[in-house]
Amino acid sequence: MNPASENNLALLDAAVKNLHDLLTARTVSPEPPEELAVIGGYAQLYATLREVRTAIMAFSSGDLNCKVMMKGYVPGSIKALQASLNHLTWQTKMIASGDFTQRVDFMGDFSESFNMMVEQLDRSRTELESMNRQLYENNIKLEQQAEALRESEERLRHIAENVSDVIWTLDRSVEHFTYMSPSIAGLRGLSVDEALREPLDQAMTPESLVSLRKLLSDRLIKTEGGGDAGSVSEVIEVEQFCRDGRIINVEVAISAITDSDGQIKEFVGVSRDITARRKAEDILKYQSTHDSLTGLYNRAFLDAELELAVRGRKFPVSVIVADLDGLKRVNDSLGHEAGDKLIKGAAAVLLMAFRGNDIVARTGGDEFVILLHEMGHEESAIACERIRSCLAIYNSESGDLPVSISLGAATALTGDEILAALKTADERMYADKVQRKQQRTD
Amino acid sequence: MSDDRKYKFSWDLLGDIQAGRPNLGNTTRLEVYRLLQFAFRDVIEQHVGTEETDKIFYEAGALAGKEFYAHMLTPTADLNDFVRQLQEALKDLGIGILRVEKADLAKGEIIITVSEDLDCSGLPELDYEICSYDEGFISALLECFSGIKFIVKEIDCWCTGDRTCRFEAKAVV
Ligand SMILES: [Zn+2]
Repeated sequence: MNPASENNLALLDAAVKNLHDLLTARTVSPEPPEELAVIGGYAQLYATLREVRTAIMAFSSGDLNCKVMMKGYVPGSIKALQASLNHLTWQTKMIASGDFTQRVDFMGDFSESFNMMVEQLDRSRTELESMNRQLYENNIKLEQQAEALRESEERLRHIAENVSDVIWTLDRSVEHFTYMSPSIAGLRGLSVDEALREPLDQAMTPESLVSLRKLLSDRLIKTEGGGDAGSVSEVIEVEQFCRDGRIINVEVAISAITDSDGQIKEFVGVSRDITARRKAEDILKYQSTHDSLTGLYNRAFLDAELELAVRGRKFPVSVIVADLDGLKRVNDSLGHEAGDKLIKGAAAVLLMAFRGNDIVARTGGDEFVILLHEMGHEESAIACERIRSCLAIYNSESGDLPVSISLGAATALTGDEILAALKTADERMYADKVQRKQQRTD
Repeated sequence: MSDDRKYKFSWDLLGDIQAGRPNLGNTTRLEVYRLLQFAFRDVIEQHVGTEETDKIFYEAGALAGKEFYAHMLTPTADLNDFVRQLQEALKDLGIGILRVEKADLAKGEIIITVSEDLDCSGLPELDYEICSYDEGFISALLECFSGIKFIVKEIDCWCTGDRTCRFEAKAVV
């Protein structure tokens, strides 16, 4: 081999090794070795291959911005890959911004997987949006309901705190009040806190507590079966203690708050002070049944009692008719004041002579009737004797205006005989009056 | 130039294709389109020179782009929506497959590629980019969309050995 061809072979070896390094070595120099520059176009080829190498290495490390300047089929393919990856990056960005119409159609199997992912994302997004919308709507609804509830509570609180009646709620164990309106201060002189802390048995008399507990437990039993007894209001009257020791009459209207199953959750009540009303009623009742001058029962009360006795079962029943003697004479000679005094004297005698549950009534100006339950002839005769003794005692003590009474008694063994007995007693009283008048004139 | 021009463009000039071509319809062979374009290029170049010819094709593309925007796209302020419409229209009309490599409107930098381009895909390798009509077309679309003037340059082309035509659009500041 001549030295020239030997030299060429060595040059070719160096070029092959240089190009091999360009493909496989970790680092390469920007320029080919100087001795290879003598090969025509080698530097150009080296530069192009080196650019391809640089671009591929950049892409493989994720740098898609590397500028590829060279031309030709292989560099063109590299640029097409770069374009695809850049487009994919852009598409991903679009998807991230909510554009789920993006599809890949230029990357084989990857396209299919990618498109499936986008479709799935789109579906999930749609579902999430629908859920979100639902949640949003529910939330708005809840907010509206909460607002309505708040308004309603505000309204009720306003009402509860501005009425003089006390409004309260009591837990279903009937142990603790869970709400108490401020007007409790006006009713019982307690603060709301004191009233809420107070045990129920210290709030009212034992009798009232018993009737209240009975009413509430009846109510609980009634609703156990699911009956709709919750909204019905029941009224009970109790006696409650005040801070200052007074006992007041309180009318309580009670209803219950039930859950959706109709079970009682709480009791709600409205308490009202009716002490004054009760007093007025008591006075009225007293006035309608009593004689205002003597404090004895009046005619109306006696009539009602006689009515009861007619239909009653406990016999014998005796009646005593007592008539004040000389009332007209005293009225005429000494005036009505003296007459009244005489009447009061007769009343005092009768009250002295009878027990608390015997009915002593003033039935007319000078006439009195005593109704004696379960008493016969003998007992009524004894009663008449008692009247006379009392009369004697009275006259011996109060002196100046002596009281004189005519008496007649009769006994009924059945209800039917009562009116007749009354008539008989009246006749006997009259006979007594006449007889004693004669005795005086004799 | 006076208003009584003979060839002033109007969208109506595209004609009523349904009425006019009941059997052949609105498609033709791509070769016919290219035959027309390269015949024009040849003659125009002979008359006005290479540089003027490229300019004429760029301007014609811009005019077409403006009309295309007005008649084929729905106005939108959203870049993504605009790109999506454009992609669809270009694909449906068989003009090319548009891909976005980069779109930074704030910086006024957009790089798009058009594959299977109507003008150049499949052409023999030449030593210059040929899609000057596309350049003008794209510049007008971008301007119509954004209101900003763009200069569009084809930096890779099938004709220079690439697989896809790459256009770089830069806003004129
Ligand atoms: Zn091209």
